[in-house]
Amino acid sequence: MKFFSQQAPYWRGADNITVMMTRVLIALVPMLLVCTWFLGAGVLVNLLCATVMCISLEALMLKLRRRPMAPFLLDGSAVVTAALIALTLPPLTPWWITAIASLFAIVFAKHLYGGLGYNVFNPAMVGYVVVLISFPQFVADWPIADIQSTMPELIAVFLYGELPASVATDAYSGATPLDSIKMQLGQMKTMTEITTQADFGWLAGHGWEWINMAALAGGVWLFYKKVIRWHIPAAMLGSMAFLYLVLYALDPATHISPLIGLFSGGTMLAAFFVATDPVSAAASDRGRLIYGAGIGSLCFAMRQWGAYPDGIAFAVLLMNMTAPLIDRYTLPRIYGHDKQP
Amino acid sequence: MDIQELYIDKPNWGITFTRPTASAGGLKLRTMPPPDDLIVSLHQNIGVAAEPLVKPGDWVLKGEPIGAVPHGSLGARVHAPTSGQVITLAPHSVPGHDAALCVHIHSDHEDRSWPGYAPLIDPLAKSALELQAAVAEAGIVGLGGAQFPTGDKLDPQAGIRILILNGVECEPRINCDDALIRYRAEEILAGAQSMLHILAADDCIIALKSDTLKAIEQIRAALEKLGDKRFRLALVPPVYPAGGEAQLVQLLTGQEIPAGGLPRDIGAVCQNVGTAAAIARFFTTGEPLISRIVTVTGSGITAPVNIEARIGTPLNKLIQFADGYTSDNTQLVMGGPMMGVALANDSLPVTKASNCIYVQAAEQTQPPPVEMPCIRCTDCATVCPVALTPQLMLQAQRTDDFDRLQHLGLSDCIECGCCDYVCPSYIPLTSEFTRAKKTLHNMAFESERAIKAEARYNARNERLQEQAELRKRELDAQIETIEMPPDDKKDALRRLLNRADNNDRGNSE
Repeated sequence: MKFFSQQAPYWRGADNITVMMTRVLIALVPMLLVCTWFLGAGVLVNLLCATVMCISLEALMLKLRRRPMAPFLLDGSAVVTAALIALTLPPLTPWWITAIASLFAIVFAKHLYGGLGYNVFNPAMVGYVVVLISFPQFVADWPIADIQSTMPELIAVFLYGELPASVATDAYSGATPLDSIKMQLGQMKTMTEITTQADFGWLAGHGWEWINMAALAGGVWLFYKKVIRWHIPAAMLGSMAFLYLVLYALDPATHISPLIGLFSGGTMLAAFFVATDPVSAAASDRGRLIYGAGIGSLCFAMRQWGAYPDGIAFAVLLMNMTAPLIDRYTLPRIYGHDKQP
Repeated sequence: MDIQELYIDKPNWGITFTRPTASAGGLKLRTMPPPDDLIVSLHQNIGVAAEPLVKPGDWVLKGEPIGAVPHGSLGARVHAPTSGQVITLAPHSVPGHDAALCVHIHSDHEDRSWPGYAPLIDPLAKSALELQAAVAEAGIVGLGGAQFPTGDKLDPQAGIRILILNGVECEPRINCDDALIRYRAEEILAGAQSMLHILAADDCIIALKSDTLKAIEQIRAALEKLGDKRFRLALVPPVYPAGGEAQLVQLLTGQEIPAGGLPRDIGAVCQNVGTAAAIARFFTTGEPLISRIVTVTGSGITAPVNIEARIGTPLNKLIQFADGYTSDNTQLVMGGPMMGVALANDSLPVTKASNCIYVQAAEQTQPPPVEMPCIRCTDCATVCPVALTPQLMLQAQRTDDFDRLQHLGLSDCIECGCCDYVCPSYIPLTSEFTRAKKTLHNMAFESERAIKAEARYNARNERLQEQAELRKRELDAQIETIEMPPDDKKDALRRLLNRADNNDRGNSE
């Protein structure tokens, strides 16, 4: 008879990091498909490129840091980072932009801070912001929805960063709806005029409304699967909607409605897939409400008054910095104690 | 008559475990005859160990006291579980103690009762103090596992308003209380009436898990028959650890027990249903606490069952009674799968605290998975029944920041294991916190010892100084008595005496 001894508890739940990350990836599939539908296959090329880069860099860093290879490569976190990079970069992006974003995400934001679980900033957002600031000409312009680029054109952009000489750049890409609304409001047009234009859909920018819808659907599924909790998305979307509503109520003619605001740009992707990254977010329920509201408000302010059309990545990174501070002041009250610790 | 029923909402902490279909109705209850040899620990309670009343060679009868509470201490009496001869009186390893003084009784297979305890015809006609003394006499301790001496807990002077009868088994798989309720609901209610009488309280909530349907049926029928308006029935969702005392009090009363306090601080007292039944049994039959129901279950057991066994029955005999092990390689746990203690051998005896033997066959026991870094998902904080932040505590623990660890509430951790269970990174949080508690305990012990050593050192120095001064004064006095030497002579003499004195001391050290 042999008795072996472990320590209690002897049971374990079924979820682990790999399961969580796989669910995040599954939840991104609808958005990926809708993106491909409206903006072309470039998004898939981005995804492939980012995934290869992120996994190779992850493996390289694990080797350099002498960490076990298998568990960390199989945890799926590098692939999630790659997917987020692929979805935040425009579909027609030269490969080296994606590579640089991946490099800064995996090497600098993740491994130099200590690897999985230790990064202060969201790796994908760091990678994106680095290329956004350094190479704005490649990152600012997005394809116009529904105009599908041909395979040779796609390859040309991917390899050399420019379209074949025969094709006019303007035909394919331009400002995102958020950017264009801002520009046109600057030209003294009213919202009614802008929203009746052809590139505007039934809710927000044509195509973008569906992309955001798909991200929302994936996010709701993640919530249902208990991978994420409601606090951060609710606080972020709630605060954004509220701020949009205040201005919109003051003057609907010159301000974006809350619905357009929520279904434009990367709002839903950020709310459900980026801000909810637990490693770089606040930890307690109350803290997460503050953290989410902070991202929503900052994002609103940057869209409204900032230089970039969509400041969501900056908003996330700024709030990442405050997470430890928020944690410090939002500890829950322990059972049997009058005050929080 | 209508019994008031309370339906408790699902708390926002804990883990919901569904019962396996095989034991959905609860395991059967079987009574095991006393084995040939029993090892009865004299320390089966919170407080001090009982003093032996027998010596090797003595013959004892079933129910005869063999251990008494030392005068003026917190403790519980111990009784012989069957009739037979005392073989040895020696330390033995028992669950919870590495070496407790144990009485080894060899059964004479006659199981004759000791005539010393007469049944109480009408316990409710006795005074509260008399009944309290009787409960203590029967050696009854909290049978939920805490082993607090029940006589001391049932304090008529404590101002208790509400008695909570805990039939919500804390851990999954344990169903000894469920079995007791299914088979002996009336006994439990009779015991509860005596408790209410002792406490002079007129409110008793019987708390049951809402998925123990047969038990609920039985207790409803018994309440109906009894028609006592003081009882209420509460149905608690099957969330672990809703059966923990502090958690149950919170669920039933909406109040929290103040940190470091007891339920009595908010006018409540919690008793296990088994404790109530033990009281009723002593009053009606005169049989003190010499047996208890133990759930023997798990994938490593051939025929899982609830066994009413005598205290002192070796675990291997108990497991034999459940048709033995299914595998040669198993995990033997005293308690449940969440908080139980792994045992290294099965010769340990049943004690008053043994509610469950959980045996997991090796095939079902996965090797501990590779631990990954914490990703701060906060699932641990979500399930924590006392609202701790295990992810931040782990950070403090791994950096040896014990001040922060205590600030974050280490001492409030009840070690329920929920955080471990949900952790997607497989971090053994509970054992980390248990270890940190031990370290802190040792540190406190060390610092106390250091303070004592310093005080001892200072006291010794003072003593030596005093002696030296005394000696000097004596010396001076002696010198003064020497007649008329010139001053320089006097000095020379003093130096000489001092040197001799120093030499003395040097030799003696």
